[in-house]
Amino acid sequence: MSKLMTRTSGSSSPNTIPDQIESPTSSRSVTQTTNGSHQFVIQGYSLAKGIGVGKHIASDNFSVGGYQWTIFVYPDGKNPEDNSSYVSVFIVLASECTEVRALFELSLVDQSGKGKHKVHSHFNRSLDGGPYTLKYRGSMWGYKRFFRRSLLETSDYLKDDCLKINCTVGVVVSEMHCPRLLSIHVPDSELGSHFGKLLDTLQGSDVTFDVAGEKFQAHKLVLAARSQFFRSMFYNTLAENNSDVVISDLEPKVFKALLHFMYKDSLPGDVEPLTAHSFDLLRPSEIDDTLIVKLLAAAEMYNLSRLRLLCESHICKGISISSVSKILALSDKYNASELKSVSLKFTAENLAAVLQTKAYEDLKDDCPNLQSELLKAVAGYDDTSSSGGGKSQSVWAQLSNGGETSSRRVRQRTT
Amino acid sequence: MSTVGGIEQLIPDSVSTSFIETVNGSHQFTIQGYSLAKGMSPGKFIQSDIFSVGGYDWAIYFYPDGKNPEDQSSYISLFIALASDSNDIRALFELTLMDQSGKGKHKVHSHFDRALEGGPYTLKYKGSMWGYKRFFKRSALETSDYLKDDCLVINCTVGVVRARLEGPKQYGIVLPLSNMGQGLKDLLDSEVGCDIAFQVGDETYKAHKLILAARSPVFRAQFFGPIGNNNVDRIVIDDIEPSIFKAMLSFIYTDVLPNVHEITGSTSASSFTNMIQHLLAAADLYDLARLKILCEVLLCEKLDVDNVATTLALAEQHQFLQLKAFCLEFVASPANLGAVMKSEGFKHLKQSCPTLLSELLNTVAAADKSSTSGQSNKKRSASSVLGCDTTNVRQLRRRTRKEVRAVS
Repeated sequence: MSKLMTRTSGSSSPNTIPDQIESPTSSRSVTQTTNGSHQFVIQGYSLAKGIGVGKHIASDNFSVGGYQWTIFVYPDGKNPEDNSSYVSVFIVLASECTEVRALFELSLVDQSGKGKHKVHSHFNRSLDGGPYTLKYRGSMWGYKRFFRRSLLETSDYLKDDCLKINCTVGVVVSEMHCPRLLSIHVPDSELGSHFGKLLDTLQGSDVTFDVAGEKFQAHKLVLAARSQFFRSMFYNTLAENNSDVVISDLEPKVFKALLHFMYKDSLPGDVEPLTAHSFDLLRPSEIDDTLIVKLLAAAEMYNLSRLRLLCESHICKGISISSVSKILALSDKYNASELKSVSLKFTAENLAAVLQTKAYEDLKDDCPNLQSELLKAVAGYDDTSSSGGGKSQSVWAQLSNGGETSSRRVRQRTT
Repeated sequence: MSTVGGIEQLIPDSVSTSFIETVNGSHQFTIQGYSLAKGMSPGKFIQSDIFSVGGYDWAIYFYPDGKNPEDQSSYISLFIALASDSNDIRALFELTLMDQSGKGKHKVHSHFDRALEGGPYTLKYKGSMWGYKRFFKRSALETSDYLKDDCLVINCTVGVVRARLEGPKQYGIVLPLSNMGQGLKDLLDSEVGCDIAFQVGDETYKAHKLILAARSPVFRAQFFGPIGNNNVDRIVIDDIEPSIFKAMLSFIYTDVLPNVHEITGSTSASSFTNMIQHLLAAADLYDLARLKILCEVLLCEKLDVDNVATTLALAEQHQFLQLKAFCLEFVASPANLGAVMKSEGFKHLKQSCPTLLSELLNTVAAADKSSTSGQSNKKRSASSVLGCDTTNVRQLRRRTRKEVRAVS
């Protein structure tokens, strides 16, 4: 997010005549916008056509300036009078509030790479009537005739039946209109950075850890505050005055990462970054060898619940069709309950595809118990989402893939 | 990022994708005894069993003598009907009459794998149909490979259109806020490993030098600095009230403001503001940057005509510039100025901080300029001077001036 600010101010210098007060010739006003953006991708435009005039597809909600927003796309147009000749696009205020003033930008992305995006924007333009005011939840700004439909369907904006719309909202904030508005920014917690300095400088350190021959200095108080294990070690009434501790069950790099978390409450920088395909080509033994998984094991060993969650959250980024079975096995092995829960959910939603993978075959052999948990996830998923039609349909989507297969077979016969 | 006509194309802060796809299902309908079905008359049908696709029920309707009387039974008709009690279901369809000779020359009518000019078909209510009145010429059918042993085989595929919204964090684990402070607070409350005691009035508070030093530059210099005394184990604090010191200590360990009403034992707004003012002064004394900002935010939230003058004086004294700007803005607004000038704090402000009056007048004038409304009558009343109660502000100043004395 960024801030745009305009400021005009004047000041007067003290006058030699004490009884006279000189008025400044200019005024002071601080008006700015808090900006945020969101991209809405519509995959399957041809199936969206014919939805009906006035019917829309909604994006996910996104936050800008303390308010929630959403994008509505009307494939057949919003206005019946246009006879479905145009696609309409609107930005909608989704928060329960009144009188929000904002600037908007809507861009239809040119997917050919030429950069000829279709842009409608308030930004970088003189505002004749000032910003737009949205009066209540559901108010919208946009265009009934955003694009002519016949032109759209032969243009570079549609690629592989996919449309991309970029939306930017700039919420207007003005101190003159809201004299009691809080614009003092409270920074994030400094605990991590303050104790991080202790770790970096080692000022006042009072304990040395020997980890496979590598020495690490630390502070008993910080470790005791962060872990019951270390608190018992250093401050139990029966504890000896131990300033030298040998750690025999961790590698030096894992212990170093553990200390980083203890002092800074975050994962260190040398933990491997993960994407949806990071684990696809790795064998389970190779996954076990990554720093993040070893750190997960250490979190389990030293009962650091938040470190465990940080690791689980990080490994989550590696979930894909190809990798989810390996991650499921890993979560079972290290008692990573949140990671297991998310993996089961992902698998239930992509059941047919996951069952085809090699990783699943291995999972079936190595962890037969997980299959019953998977069945519960599928059943529970269907039960809990029966009220939401869309979600129960996704279960149908997976279970009826067999039907799709036979449908393909039929098509082949016609050739 | 790319630029279009001077407009910088922002990388979006978040992305959501709407997947519009179909949930597919198939059904095979076998008609055994076609010759006996003939002659039913137009508009009469044979219905298949009901099958489910995409959460909805469907059925195949076969009209041996055609659906439309005008066709005079020259054609067979074939339709797929919505059997659920639902409205506006959008779907794709495929109807296949099977070649039973093994040649694979099936008769197919299909939406699938075809450009959809008008989009999917919409079935408006239970009983709505999609299909063909003239699916096949009857005379041709009866001599074709589609009819074998008086048997017809019809395959039907339905693809129900469904939109699925996928946000960026669909498969994420929600991390709770940091609990780093809780561990430290447990140490403070249990007094495990404490190595320093503070005597504050009648109260004694135990703490850890290392933690105080990590969090406050003043304590760091006192315990670990070159001219500090790291052997000290007892310090007397005589210019801060016990409840204020306790609140400050709680912040040092947790990085959050404690519940102020809990500490003061009072729920009144004025004692709350008074407490925060004192806490702000203590935060300044011990150079706790974040605590200062938290207090400033709270004081801004609680500004009223009775307390704004004392808060403004405090902000001026300690150079809390954001808080000062807020106070000036508050006082200068037409709705507040008259009432503020009647308050006790304002009377003292005139005596102790005369330069603030000048700044206040500039702020009023700036507000006048922008609101184009006259306030000259209120400006004139600023010339009045009267004595006032200065207890609170004087006490505050005395306390903040004193140094911390170490006793060992």
